[in-house]
Amino acid sequence: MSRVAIIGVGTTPFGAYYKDRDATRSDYDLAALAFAEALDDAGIAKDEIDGLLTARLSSYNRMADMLGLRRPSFVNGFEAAGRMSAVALQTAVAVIEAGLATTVALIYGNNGRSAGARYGGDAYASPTAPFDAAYGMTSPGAYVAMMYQRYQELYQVPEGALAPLAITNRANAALNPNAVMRTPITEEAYLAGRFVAEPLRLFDYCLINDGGVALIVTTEERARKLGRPVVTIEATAACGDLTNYYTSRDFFFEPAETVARRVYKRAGITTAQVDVAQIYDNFTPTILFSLEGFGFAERGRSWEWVRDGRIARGGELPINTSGGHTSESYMQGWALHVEAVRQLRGEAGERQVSGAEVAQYICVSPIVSSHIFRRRD
Amino acid sequence: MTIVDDAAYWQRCAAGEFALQRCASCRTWRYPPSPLCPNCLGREFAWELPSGRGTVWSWIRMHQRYFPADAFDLPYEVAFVELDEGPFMIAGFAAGTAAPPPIGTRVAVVFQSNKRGDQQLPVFRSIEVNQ
Repeated sequence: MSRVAIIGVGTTPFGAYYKDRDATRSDYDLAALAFAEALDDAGIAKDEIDGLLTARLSSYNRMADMLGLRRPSFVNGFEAAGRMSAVALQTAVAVIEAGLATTVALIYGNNGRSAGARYGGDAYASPTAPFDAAYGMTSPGAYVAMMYQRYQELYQVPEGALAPLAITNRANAALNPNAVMRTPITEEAYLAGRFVAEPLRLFDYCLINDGGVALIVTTEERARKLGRPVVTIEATAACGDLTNYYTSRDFFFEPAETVARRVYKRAGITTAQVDVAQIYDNFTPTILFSLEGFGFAERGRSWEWVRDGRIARGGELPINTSGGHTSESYMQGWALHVEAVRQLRGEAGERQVSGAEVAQYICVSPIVSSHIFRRRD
Repeated sequence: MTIVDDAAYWQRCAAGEFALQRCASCRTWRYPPSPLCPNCLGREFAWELPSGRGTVWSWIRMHQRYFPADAFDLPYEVAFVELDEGPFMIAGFAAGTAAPPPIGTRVAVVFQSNKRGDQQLPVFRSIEVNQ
């Protein structure tokens, strides 16, 4: 089967927008800015796009009307959850492989900062949320904290074990001119961060900022005609762990193992061949759960595995080279997809991982998902 | 079709009764309330009394203000308990629990009022002999 390739990526300025704190931005406008950049990056005409997938935007009609994409052959809109970034790309792959569309634009807009998103409290409701809210339980971070507290006790993890994750993300962001938070942090600063949902501290949390991201994908055959480095989706897989709680009873280990088995088999690689990984880090413990579920580190030992520079840019497995959700931008996995592409194209500037040919995206969440991307010259 | 009113659960709590739905066909317990059994999809059920015992799976201490100040005093602890009957439950620890007990601690339900005094909540206290 022919492969699907990512031919265009676009992101809005994250850092500059964050500094301009008083602005009120529209999520559609942010998405449109990213789309224009992705289209320019792909070097194709707008009318070549025949598939439209939007995310976090309440109306694909409005988005399509703003962009003048009136008659797509395939269209859908995805909810605001970050796990949907991978699901949207999987949909694009399936749509292209099925012949329902040839060139699909995926467009995401997030004005969380302008809109004052809080990700918790009475307004953040699922059908069963009132049963938890009666006890003050709310927010995805708190459900992840619940997992991490158990993880700490099960594996006798010392305080501060998450610090290398926050510190590495920040060190990467310092090399990313587009990142929101670029001032390096020390372990001392990490530990001085206030608790939010204890045991998680401030620097374990993703940012809340405004931005947009767009991807344009098509067949590998078409991608080859554009005269650019070709980045293909070698494999993609997902597995749900769907309950009323974001807290997974095995820290998503089994579904992650399932997804790992599928993507590595389909891509014909092992973990050793992954040059750079973009790991969904709404909260830092998810990086540990990802490394264990996907077989990079032993179960219960990833907190040791990540120390001593192993996940830094020059290390064995560079992770979240743009700074991730805690330092670059909280674009719910979308900007991590873009970073994977930029790394494989060799366009990551100072933060470039030299010779990166294989990149992996991992999202450990109620929909565990992963893709393997490869540069094919 | 059976319509489940979530209020049915809370009304029993208000009366100091910890009752959960149990499938009439396959006898599977469930929580939170749902109109059908997640095991066999059966719609017939009864509100039955579980043992009220469970095991601490984990806990957190919330420092962030997400709810109005009259609802919770910061920081406060939240427990995640695996009930002996199977369901998991977000809950609280009983007042007077000095520190959150370690994971695996055996606990039992007691009722206490929320801060506003308008809701009786099932919460858990340790039943381990050395506590």
